Amino acid sequence: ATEPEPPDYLSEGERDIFDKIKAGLSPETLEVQDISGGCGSMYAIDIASPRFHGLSVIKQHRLVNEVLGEDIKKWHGVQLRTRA
Amino acid sequence: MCSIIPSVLEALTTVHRQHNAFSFKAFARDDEVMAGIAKAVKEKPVVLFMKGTPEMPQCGFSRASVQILGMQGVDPAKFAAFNVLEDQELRQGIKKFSDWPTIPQLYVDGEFVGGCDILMSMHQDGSLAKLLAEKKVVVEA
Repeated sequence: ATEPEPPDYLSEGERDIFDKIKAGLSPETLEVQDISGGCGSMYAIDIASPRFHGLSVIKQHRLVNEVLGEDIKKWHGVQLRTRA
Repeated sequence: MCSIIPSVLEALTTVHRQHNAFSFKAFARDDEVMAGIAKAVKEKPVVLFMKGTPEMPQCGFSRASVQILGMQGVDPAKFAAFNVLEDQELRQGIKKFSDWPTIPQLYVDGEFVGGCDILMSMHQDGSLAKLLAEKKVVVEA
């Protein structure tokens, strides 16, 4: 399976998150979007990864928290969509 | 499935006013705050830690969570809401307690269910209705 490549148009913040998730969760599809008007304070993240297989939604989100924990603490909010 | 029951949503806000008299500011020590939160999550079968009040949410995600609970017909007598904006100890403490970085946070029967994203997805796939029915926290139709 091909790994997702970061699109050219990602901001620095989006790219940073993209790279962390790619490294930490082996996603098959991955989308990261700054939804705070470019302020870097809120992101919408969509991840499909085999690592989520068999896990409840909340466990899937906790896995993401492990990878992005320190960042999320700095944000106002996050919109997470995950699936196996 | 029922549409928003206005009286349920209204009643949720009345219940809230009775509850936020409880303040975590009185606790000087971290372990006291944690103990206070451990009690708070069992205050009622359905407990929401949010920004603002059910009547006046201060954040879109908190507002959405209250609306979802209203749509699900949660019994106001079985519901409590805590406004983390009024209380810095609570605001930091609940994130530590749940090991979850964001607000709002929903507890059902003393157990952490999730934040707004999870509530929305559970609301859409029917698992929230199932959980609330199992825990017998919805208003009888």
